[in-house]
Amino acid sequence: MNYQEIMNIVLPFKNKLYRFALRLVSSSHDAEEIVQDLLIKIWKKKEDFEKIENKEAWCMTVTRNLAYDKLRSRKRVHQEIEAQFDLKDNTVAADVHLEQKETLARVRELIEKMPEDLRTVIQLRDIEGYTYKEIAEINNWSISKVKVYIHRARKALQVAISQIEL
Amino acid sequence: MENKEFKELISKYWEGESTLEEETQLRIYLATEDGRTNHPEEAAMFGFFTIQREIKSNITEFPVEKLEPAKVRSLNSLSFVRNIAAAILILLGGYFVWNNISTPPENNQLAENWREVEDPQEALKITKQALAFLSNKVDKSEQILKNNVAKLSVNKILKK
Repeated sequence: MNYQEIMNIVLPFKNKLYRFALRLVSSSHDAEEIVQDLLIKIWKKKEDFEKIENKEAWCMTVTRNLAYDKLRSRKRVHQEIEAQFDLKDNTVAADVHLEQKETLARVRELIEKMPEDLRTVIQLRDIEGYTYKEIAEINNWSISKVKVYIHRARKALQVAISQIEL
Repeated sequence: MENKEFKELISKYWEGESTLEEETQLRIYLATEDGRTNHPEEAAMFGFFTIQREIKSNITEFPVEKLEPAKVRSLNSLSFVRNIAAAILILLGGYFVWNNISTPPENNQLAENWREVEDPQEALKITKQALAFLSNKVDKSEQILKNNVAKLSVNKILKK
């Protein structure tokens, strides 16, 4: 397995990996670095990687672990809200109006304030569209735990979102 | 699907009981004018999810440079100078120790004449010679002692 073969496997879901890392570390620079570190890890364990059945889930798990390592090595930085909503960088639909952007920023803020596990399930389910089974596999949780976290996350979101003035 | 049905679907979503397919239906509906008008809060939230899904990584190639980081050191760095100084000290210390250990002890004839004898017959012969030498010395000492004792008188002993 060479560099290009690794890239061919990872490229289709590299954005998911990046977003997951970004959700956890709140820094685009660190998130890019985490994805790069993941690629290095795959290279170093390429024989084992070839045998893995669900490579995407495995990559998501490693990304999560690398993000946690990153968080442990520094105080969590709340930044780059603007970067995530930058129309040029993130190819957000051109018809998003300023008012809508403010609402979206508010939703993001609410999610950011949630506990880490709840943010993780929102990212994996509502943004990336993973099944409960996949979320369980990525986080090494039971499916019932995933269901509990999703229920809690949505209840918290429902309460918070009802407070937004639209 | 009617608005009432979407309302039920939204309830299911909030309870965490909706399937991925139902959530996809909701996303499509809430992006429409009807969806945004009837359910503005949920539409804003699903809009946020959609925008998040658009965030992309800039990585397109394998980070080879991270695999083999360059090991270039600055000559001006303090740590480099410290390392050089430490190396010189170690070399000087090593030279001093080696110089002292490797110098043979002066006039040490025993050390120079020392040899191992492996032949038992030769070893016996040398041992006999050594014992004879020692015996001869002891005999001479004994004779000298006898002569001196004979010369002694009571007066000399008592210093009268």
